[in-house]
Amino acid sequence: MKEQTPSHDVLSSRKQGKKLITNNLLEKELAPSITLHQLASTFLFIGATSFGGGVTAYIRRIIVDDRQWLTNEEFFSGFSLCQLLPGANVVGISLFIGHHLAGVRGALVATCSLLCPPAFLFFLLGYLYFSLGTFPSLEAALQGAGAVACGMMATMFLEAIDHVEGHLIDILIFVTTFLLVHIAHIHVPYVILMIAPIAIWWHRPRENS
Amino acid sequence: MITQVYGELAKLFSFLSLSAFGGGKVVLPSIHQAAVDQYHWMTNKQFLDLFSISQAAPGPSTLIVELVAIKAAGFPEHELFSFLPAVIGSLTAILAMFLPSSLLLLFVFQYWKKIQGTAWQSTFQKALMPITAALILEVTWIVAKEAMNGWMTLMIGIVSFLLILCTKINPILIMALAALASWFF
Repeated sequence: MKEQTPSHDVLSSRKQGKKLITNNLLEKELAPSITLHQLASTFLFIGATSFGGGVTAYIRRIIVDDRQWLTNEEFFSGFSLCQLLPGANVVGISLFIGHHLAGVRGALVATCSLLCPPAFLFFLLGYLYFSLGTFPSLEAALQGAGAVACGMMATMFLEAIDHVEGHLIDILIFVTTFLLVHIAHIHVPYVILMIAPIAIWWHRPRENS
Repeated sequence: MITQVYGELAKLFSFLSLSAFGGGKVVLPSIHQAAVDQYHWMTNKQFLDLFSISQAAPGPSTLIVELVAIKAAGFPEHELFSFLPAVIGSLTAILAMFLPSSLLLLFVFQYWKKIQGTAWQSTFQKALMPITAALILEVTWIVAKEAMNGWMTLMIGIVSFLLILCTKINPILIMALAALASWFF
């Protein structure tokens, strides 16, 4: 698929009746071809080492910054979709990355690999907790990992805000969303239901642009 | 008797899977209520302990459903394969929690790929970006409130933020150093 020449690509997508922007075509060509094996090993690693919360930020760091399998733009478009839909965000973004790189099979491989190491560990911890009735305190060490996770979240926020269009209305949407969630404590899905239609209407495709 | 528990786990978590709009944290109160008040699988104290375990362990904290399932299915004493019910319960809970929402997401991602490059895709992308950025800021805020409990963690947070932003150091290395630092001080 990746070896196809651009002209072939255009033809095949025309056959399906779709518009293609040149820019996007370039991106498609540049998309790295990732084997299922690479996907599995990377997500097994992420699953086993994502301490301290903020797992989505950790995934972005590894997949976008280190491996460069996705651009920030692609990552955040996937993350936006996960916000709209139900389910754990970490699982959602793994599905998206896997799907983007290797289709449905890639999505399943990435997500199962991500969940496998922690699932085993959780079973062990659960067994220990319910047979011992208590849990050894690792709080001090985990507090440090939590602080790093927080730093990682903050970098992800900077990347995200960098990808927001600079119009006044975009900034207004950003501020209103944050205030509604943070100050007014309105549930996220309701906030999205209120704000997203306005944002989509504003950015709707226009003839002259 | 035990099969009834599997059924309850499957029913509870598959329903929560499809109602977890905005992430797994949203359904945490529902899991709490079901596990403690509705099905009496555990005490309030036990649920809070499980919550801290799920926060501390690697991986998505939504895997707390596995811990709940282990307690619900239990480890029957004086039996050869006493861990078997807990294993089946765990798998039931994990599948129920993640499979329904994942299928829905895959369906949407397929469609997303189909509209790739169209004007509407860029519309959605641009429109959702400020909303997503605001939600990430909110999550960062929540994580910061939990993690920053003194000058030491505040320092670690700021230093790691700068390191991650400006260098290519592996975050695992930073995390290990931070864990050591907060362990010793």
